Amino acid sequence: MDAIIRGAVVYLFLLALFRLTGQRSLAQITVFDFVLLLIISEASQQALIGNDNSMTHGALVVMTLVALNVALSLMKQRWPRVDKLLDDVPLVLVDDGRLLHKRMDKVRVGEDDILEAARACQGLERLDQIKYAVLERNGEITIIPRSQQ
Amino acid sequence: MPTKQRSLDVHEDVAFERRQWRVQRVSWIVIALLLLLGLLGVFGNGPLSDAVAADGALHVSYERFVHAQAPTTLHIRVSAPGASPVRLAIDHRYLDALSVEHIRPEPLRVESSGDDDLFEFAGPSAGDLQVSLDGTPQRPGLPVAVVRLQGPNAARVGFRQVVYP
Repeated sequence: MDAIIRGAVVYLFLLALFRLTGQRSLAQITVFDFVLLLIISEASQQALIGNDNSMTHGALVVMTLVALNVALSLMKQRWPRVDKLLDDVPLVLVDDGRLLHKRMDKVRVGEDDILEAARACQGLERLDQIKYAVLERNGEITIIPRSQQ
Repeated sequence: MPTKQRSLDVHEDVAFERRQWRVQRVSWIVIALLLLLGLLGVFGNGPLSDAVAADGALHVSYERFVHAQAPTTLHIRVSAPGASPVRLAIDHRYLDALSVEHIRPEPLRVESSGDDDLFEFAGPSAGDLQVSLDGTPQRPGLPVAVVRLQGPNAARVGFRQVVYP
């Protein structure tokens, strides 16, 4: 019983914490995001396992996490509202070449981040080559370049 | 609320996003407050957590907020009891909730009497008698402790602890 409660509480706590703080992704580029990911996983491991290092306990925790993941994905599929609540919505940051500064401030994305994404996925050199930039739900910035005449 | 017709087919929801930003601002404040309370010791280990209950010659220092499965220590001090043995009674239910593992100094005698466990300690040749009880609460709850000093300078202290999960 303990294992399932621990698994569910930790899963839902982390989910709520990330959604409430607006942390879109930990799988990002910077070294610090990586360090954060390591530390968080280490700290939550203790809460998941407690004093019980048995295989039964570990298996129950893992099953709980996977089951919750499946259950939530079914709910997301069924109810679009749940999908938005859990997974956020994409946000256009550059609209037809125009930087939407207010939105960028709100989601803490700078011009540098957009240029970096443009270089990384499109090989673009300048801001004016970008037609659209979208902050996706997983925290990535995708770029649509202007078509070359 | 699409601002204008775009060639880009992306399912934005700016109204949702705005609501979300508001909620995020509020939750940042809530998290900051929780961290502040944490620093003060409301979730254990801090100035607001350290407490003393005293009655006459009996002083008990304890932590108001403790964690399940994490060790905690109760310090009992009896001022100047003299050389005769000192008898302390602690209710059994509390000792059970705390899962006491060690008692220092070793009591001369332990016996069970009704709801209490009676501990008899050798009186110190000079000064105060200091007793430490180390325990690890096993489950969350609000255990109530009653510690009684028996004998001529009888005293009684009671307090409640919060055991977080």
